[in-house]
Amino acid sequence: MTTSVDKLNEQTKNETVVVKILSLREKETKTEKGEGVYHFGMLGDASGTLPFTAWSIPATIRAGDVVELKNFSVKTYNDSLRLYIDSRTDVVLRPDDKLDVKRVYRDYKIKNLNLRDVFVSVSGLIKDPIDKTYEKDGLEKTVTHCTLEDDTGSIRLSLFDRKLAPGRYYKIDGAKLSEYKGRYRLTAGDKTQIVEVNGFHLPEIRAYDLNELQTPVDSVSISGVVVFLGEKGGLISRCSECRKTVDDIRCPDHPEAKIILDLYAYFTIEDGTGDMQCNAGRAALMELLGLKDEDLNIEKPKTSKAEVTRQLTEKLMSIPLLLDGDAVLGTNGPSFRARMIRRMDDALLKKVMESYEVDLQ
Amino acid sequence: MMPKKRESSKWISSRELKDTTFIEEMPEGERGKPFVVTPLGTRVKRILICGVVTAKSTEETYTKLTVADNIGPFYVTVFNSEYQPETKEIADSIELNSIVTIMGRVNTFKTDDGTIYININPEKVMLSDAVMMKYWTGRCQRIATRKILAIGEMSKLDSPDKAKILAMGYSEEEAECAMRHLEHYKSYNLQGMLEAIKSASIVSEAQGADASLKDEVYSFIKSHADPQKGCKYEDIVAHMKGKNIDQAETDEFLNLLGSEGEIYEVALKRYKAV
Repeated sequence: MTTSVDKLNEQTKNETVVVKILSLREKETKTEKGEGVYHFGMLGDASGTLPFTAWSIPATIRAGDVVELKNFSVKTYNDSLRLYIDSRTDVVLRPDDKLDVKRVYRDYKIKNLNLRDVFVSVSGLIKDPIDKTYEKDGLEKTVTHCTLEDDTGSIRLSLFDRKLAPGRYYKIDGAKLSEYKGRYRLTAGDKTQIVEVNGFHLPEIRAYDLNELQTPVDSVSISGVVVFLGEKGGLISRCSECRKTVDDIRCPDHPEAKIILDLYAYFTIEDGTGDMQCNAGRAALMELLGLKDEDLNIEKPKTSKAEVTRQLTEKLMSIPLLLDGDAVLGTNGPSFRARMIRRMDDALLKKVMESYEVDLQ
Repeated sequence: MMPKKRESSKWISSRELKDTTFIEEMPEGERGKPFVVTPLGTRVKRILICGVVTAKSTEETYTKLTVADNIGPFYVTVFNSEYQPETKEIADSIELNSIVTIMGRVNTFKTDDGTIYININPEKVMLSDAVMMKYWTGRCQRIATRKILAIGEMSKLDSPDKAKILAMGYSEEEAECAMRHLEHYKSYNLQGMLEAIKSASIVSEAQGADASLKDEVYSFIKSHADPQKGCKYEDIVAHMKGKNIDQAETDEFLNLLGSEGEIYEVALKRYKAV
């Protein structure tokens, strides 16, 4: 019997579907048994779309082809249904058929976005838009970079030739998720549907256990105790031209450039669920140490390397801290860029603990 | 060879450590201390604790500390190690009733009748404050409660299934702890553990309330004391009665402030702040 994509479920057996292969990617595998290749992608019809994995598929099939499938299976993988094609599946190419596909995107909270699902639907508050112009085909176009924030975190959103009002809530349907320098970002293109929606509650603190932050997410908080403070941090000298750290009185690549004083710290924090490498830059550390820009004037500095190291040790080690910032993905796994570091007092501790308790209620 | 990832510390209560009865076998050819598996399934080698120092004995080669969280004691032995000489120096300088945070390795000793004693050998000893202790207690409570909930869910299944626990929103660690609990501590009284953990946070809150009432007594004495004769005992008792604190409790706060050197008696039943 022929059925449609929206009717498929784990009980589906002996059905036939006619679908369009929307994307098709190849992946190599290496196991004890040897090397192999399988394919995965998206398929769909007029009722919706579904991800698929093909352990075996005819070499002639390409993205954009319409095919008839028989003897396939459907299972749940990573919380969503997936169609599986294997050696028993009949895959018949239908070169003369045309098929309109209804795009259906899964709703995600920002914290739960991951690159396994690239086209997604996300709702949130629009903040801090910045317009930039560029030229395409001789025409001037505008791209707006802004922040999309929901109750779990925030993400950078780029809108091409579209304007959204800051301070309002929108549902962005069919945005493309990508990763750049360890952070996720969304892009809304021509086919992305955007509608205004009702606002929702945004918490004051979004505190996560360290073991929850395995994928990038902006504007979140972590708490913990610093158990290791990197010795190479503190008051450092940078080249004003290339911004690289310099150990000498001048930069080897830019000997004429001015040397400036800067603050940087890297440390390991633990919260009982794991540990995480963190780093903090000038703004976060100036606030923590109570320093001003003029204190870091290289001509007349009002502090010293030894004094900054002493203060960092005193204000970071063995104290319960709340860090606000972004979870990023580095080469050594997740790490945290702290934008603000606060020592917890009774009042802040109460708020942080309440934020953690949400999932136990 | 890939460098071994640093083993992060587990935050567990004294009760969870005390009730531990399972020590993992060391893999052949490996040196060091073995992992222990606690009743909540936590696999521990490194631990981070916070509590009040209730006993201390110092020898040339080692210092023993008893550190109490809000449930019971941890036993800590700091050796005079050439690698971390500062750890013993800090331990030696700590006074009784100080709050400390200690990160260290667990060290086990098994008697002939199978009883296990667990001791902590610190890598780091840090002086802390009441906020740190409340934070640590709160975190331990959250971590332990989630593990107990995961164990409850796993117990309902026909056979242990990690994937099903993960699908319910528990972490990898929580699911593995539930598996280990069922493997090694199936008949353990989880309800008793849950009650102990809950009581720890009630003590924490009470300590917070006590601290604010003690501050109230101190502030009253400071603002109402005659420069020469000090503040009358009867006035302090009457003021605290207005805050629903009886005379006996007020006496306790006065004794505490006196022992901490915050106030002194200028004449019989007349107090001044230092």
